[in-house]
Amino acid sequence: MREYFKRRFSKIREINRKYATPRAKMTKGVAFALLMLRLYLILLVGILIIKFITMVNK
Amino acid sequence: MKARAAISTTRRPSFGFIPRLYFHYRRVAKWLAVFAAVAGPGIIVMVADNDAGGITTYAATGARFGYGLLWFLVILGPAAYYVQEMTVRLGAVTKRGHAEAIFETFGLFWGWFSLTDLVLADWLTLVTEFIGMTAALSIFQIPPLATVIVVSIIMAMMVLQGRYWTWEKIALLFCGINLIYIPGAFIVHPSVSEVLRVGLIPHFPGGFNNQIFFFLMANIGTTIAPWMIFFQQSAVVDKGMDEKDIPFGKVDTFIGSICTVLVAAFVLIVTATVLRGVQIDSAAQASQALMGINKYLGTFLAIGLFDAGFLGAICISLASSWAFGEIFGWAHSLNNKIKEAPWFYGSYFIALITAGTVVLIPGAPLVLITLFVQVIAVTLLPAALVFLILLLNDGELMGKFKNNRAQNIISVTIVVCIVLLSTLYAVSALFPNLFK
Repeated sequence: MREYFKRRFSKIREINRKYATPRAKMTKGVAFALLMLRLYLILLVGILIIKFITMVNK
Repeated sequence: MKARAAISTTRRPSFGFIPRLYFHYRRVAKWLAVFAAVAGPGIIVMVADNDAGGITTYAATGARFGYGLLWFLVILGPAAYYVQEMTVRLGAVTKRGHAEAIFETFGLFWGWFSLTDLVLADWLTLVTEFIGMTAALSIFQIPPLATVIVVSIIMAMMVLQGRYWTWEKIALLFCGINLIYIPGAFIVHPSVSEVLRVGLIPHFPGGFNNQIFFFLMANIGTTIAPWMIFFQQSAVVDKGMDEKDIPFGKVDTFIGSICTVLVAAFVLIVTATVLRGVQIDSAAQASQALMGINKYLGTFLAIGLFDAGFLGAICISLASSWAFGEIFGWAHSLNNKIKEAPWFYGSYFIALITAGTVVLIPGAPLVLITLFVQVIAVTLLPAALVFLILLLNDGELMGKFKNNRAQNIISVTIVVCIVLLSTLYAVSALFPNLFK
């Protein structure tokens, strides 16, 4: 089991090494704006899920 | 001077009408032959876009608002075209799938974020495809378990035959079946003047409220979905399209966008004409209601719903598998046999079987899941679109195929509108009395 997970995680480590250096250099402002957008959208999805659960429980 | 005089006195050979006609015929025939070879990803992704969730959304929209939101569907056609056309250019120029392009250009954090988004949204949407297929066939008394098993076997056979070209042609056949809604709309004899008068003038029936925001978002979510961006780009790469094929890819996508709007509009017209004011929450429910009015109409809708779910399922499961294969470095082409690409096909079947199992859970709120998944997909869409726009503006990557100003304006407008609408819906969900 240990060996199995070790092999799986080694693949992920390999991917992380391969893409460690992005080709495009994002400015801090752009990266921050993108992160805020992502977090904002996740917040909206959270609200949707709460609405969904409310409707199911009605 | 003498040379110029010589040129001016030299007569150009003139061809007769028949040879000129033949010349033009040969040119057009050659263009069509190349187009037929290249066409596929655009038409498939656009028609598959009218998946089971989409048909459910259009049917419910027509029953709830009549022809009132027809104009919105018409606008979504060009919006979908502009988004998908970008994936054609990106795939043909970079020869890489969308997931790989994001990892390589923006790094690990955004890469894993996008991949996780895609996998979750895809799996949820796959569940809705199975919901649609089982609901459609249950009208003909076929139990859900039988539908899930038979569909899984057909989908397995389609991918295991080992050629992208064959898979594509079978998918195009199912795209043709999807047009069954068009004759269905003529059966109900809608008033053309009313459709044009009420349907094509932009307005919001019933005003701004929680319900209209939900339906607007569900309609956007079913017309432009994150999986479509990943699917078409990967399909372009798997098909081996080149930069010189981009014009054909654009026409392919344009034709697909016309088909998607036509089908959406006709489904809405059917339920708006015959089931206006009736509480319809799903396309299967609409089919059953229509069976009572006209047997053929109900049958067309049920067949169309099954076909929509099937098309959506075969595309969405591939979108995820392609993305995984690109990132994990597995062989990930439909041209590979199962022994050559075990993980590619394995991930495909795992998604299929787990999604099909959800449908079999007793008491699961399947209709609600279908509508909410569309809304969740559209909420996550801006994130995928922003990366697409950034990639298409990378001059080093795209060269002469990068976005021009008009394309950027349209794409950014789409993103802003979706974020605004998502916000309005969230606000109306939290404060329902605000928009009464």
